[in-house]
Amino acid sequence: MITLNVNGQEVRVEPGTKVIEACKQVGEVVPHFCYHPGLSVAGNCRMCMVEIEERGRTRVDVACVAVASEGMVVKTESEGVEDARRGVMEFLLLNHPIDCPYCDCAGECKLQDYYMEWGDTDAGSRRMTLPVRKPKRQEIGPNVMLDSERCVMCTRCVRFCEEVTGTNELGMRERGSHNVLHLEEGKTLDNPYAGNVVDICPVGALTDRDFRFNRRVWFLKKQDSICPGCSRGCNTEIHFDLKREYKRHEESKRVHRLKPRYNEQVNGWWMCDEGRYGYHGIDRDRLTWPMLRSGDTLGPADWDLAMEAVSSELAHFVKHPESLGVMLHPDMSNEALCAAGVFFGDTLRAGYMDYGFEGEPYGEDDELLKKADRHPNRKGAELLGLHRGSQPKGQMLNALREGNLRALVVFRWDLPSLLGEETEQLLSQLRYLLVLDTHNRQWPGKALHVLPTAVYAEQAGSFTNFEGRVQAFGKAFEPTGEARDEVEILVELSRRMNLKGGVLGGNNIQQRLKDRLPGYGEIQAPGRSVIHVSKEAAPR
Amino acid sequence: MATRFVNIENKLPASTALYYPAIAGGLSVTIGHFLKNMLYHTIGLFGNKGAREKASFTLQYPEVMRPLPRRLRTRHRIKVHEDGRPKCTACMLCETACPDFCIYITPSEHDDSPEEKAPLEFQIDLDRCCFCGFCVEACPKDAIHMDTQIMETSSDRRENMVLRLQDLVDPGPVVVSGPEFAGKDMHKVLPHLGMRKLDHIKPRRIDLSYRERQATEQGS
Repeated sequence: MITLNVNGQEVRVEPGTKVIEACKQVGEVVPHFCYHPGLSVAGNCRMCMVEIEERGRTRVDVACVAVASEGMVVKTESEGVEDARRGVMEFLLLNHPIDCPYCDCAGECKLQDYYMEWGDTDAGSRRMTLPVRKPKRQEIGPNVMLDSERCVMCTRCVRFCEEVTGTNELGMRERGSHNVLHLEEGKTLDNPYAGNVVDICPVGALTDRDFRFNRRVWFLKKQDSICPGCSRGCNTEIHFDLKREYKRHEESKRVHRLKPRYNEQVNGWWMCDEGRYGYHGIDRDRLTWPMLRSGDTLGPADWDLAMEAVSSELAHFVKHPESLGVMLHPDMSNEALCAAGVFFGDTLRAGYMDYGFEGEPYGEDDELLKKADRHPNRKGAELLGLHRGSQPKGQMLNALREGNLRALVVFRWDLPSLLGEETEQLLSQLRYLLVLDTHNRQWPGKALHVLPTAVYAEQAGSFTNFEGRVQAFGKAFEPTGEARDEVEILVELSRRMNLKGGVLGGNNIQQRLKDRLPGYGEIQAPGRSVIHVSKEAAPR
Repeated sequence: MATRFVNIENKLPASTALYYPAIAGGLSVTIGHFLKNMLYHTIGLFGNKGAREKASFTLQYPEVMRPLPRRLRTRHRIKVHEDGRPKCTACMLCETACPDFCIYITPSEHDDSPEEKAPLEFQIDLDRCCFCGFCVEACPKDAIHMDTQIMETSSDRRENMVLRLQDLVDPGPVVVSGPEFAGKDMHKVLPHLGMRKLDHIKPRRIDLSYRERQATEQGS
């Protein structure tokens, strides 16, 4: 460990640490464009100038390249530093189009922020030549739009495509004022992690075609969350806006984008495009009312009526629970899975219960983040021991084929896709089919009651990822329409049925989770923090 | 707290306490104006234009509108480029600045314009608007102005109070309210009422050199 002095404060860092990182340790964020802790050091933006006193000599140097040494004295603010930063800003703004009014990055743009501090407001009047014009609005990939005029040539995106994805789509061409970011011959920026270049772009040169012009960033609220796209459980931030609800938005869209949140042990700074753009389902095609069947049609009903109907139907199976089957879903949170486990397993003593089935779709692993299992919480279900019945794991539907099931409770599963052509025939032998689902879909004709449930953004809970890491996510907003959290529904059901095993409550769910899931007890303030995980936001 | 009675002595001077002189003074002003007006109107009837301009008059509002001060904040409009495109780029700064949340912009990607972003719809809910003018201040493109001189924005339906992009780009002629004149141009209605337009009342002139004068005074 070596000791250096930053703005009068002592800092102890590992040998080889860059000065910019040492400054960060004492809360001094040195302004920078090209430096990113997840990428190699380029040192080309020259914005991170600091005054360094080393072995009796003082110099102004770039903090992202300079390595901390014993006895070094660093000043992040001084006259020389100020001059250097102003000079850099003048060069950067020389050809900048200053189209902030319609630039999507306005509000989270580093150039904009630094201009407020080190920009020369009169530079425009002293400009000798017309700014260099470069192509705007270039669709360089399915998700990314490039505006060359706004680019500050930090090469973060080039380094990302080179070092992280290894796909090398981007490069720099020409020199000086004519320096321009370009797409390699015959390539498009369509790698599965391409959306990350938008996050790391410090200015508005690379914008997200999905988010583009949807909402200005200052309207967005943020909630820490976990990506439900696969069993990796990447840490994300949900950016949403409910402010303008007094008038219905054309799509009544609440979530506008997802951003990765830094977590060294899980996803680093990145997330895949599949997860990033997978948020559309939160607002699209949601089930908003409990549905009860009368004759051939499912009609909406209020919760009181629906709960009464469901509890009276389930009451028939209290004495013969061995013919009751429960299909849990690995998209459910640990809390919901545990509540369902306690209620259906321990209290109602259902004959069959499982969380994975034959014929469900799997994706493919890749080297970076994506896991083949496209559900976030299969490990949690496994650790909670939610398998019951005589059939081996994943084979529960064989009990249905053998005719051992009289009633089925289905969480979120799309039955026709699992059962195929036999769906109608197999389900016709059931006496009761209860579906708890988040989205509108084609429920088989036998479904008697359908209850709307909340998606992950609408509930606080936790997922257990493939390596057994329990990660909490927060509730961003209230469930849509009349949808409710699964835990809430199950607690209400158990209260109405008032079975011998006792009423389900928050306490016995929490206790069970602490017993079964290693690390669950370490999550302080449920829904907010994540175990073993730094809370530091992803640097831009 | 106990109630305390205080005797306040009337200490007005005797001349004021006797208010008859004041009444007489006030009446003399009124009668003076009356006589002066009658004189000017009578001379004006014989065709003297100068005398008619000096006489006071009554404007038959709403049939006749007094010209408004130019700096008065009236209904909004959106300026357009020469080719008819609205100058607005849907940057949402007016929506951000609006204290009443009465502006509602739906942005869209615009392929033809160099600005690449344009409002698909721009709504101002006049029911909510407090005419503070923050939107005008906030606009970086100088696209929104409040100088249409339209003040009569009442309606019997809420949805009619919402201005759409088309209403803002083209504010339309000044209309006279009242059931029989609804939707008609004021200048076309006036002759039917047997009234002449009072041309001689000019809008108050704004002294644009005021700022410059102030600056030089401060400088010297």
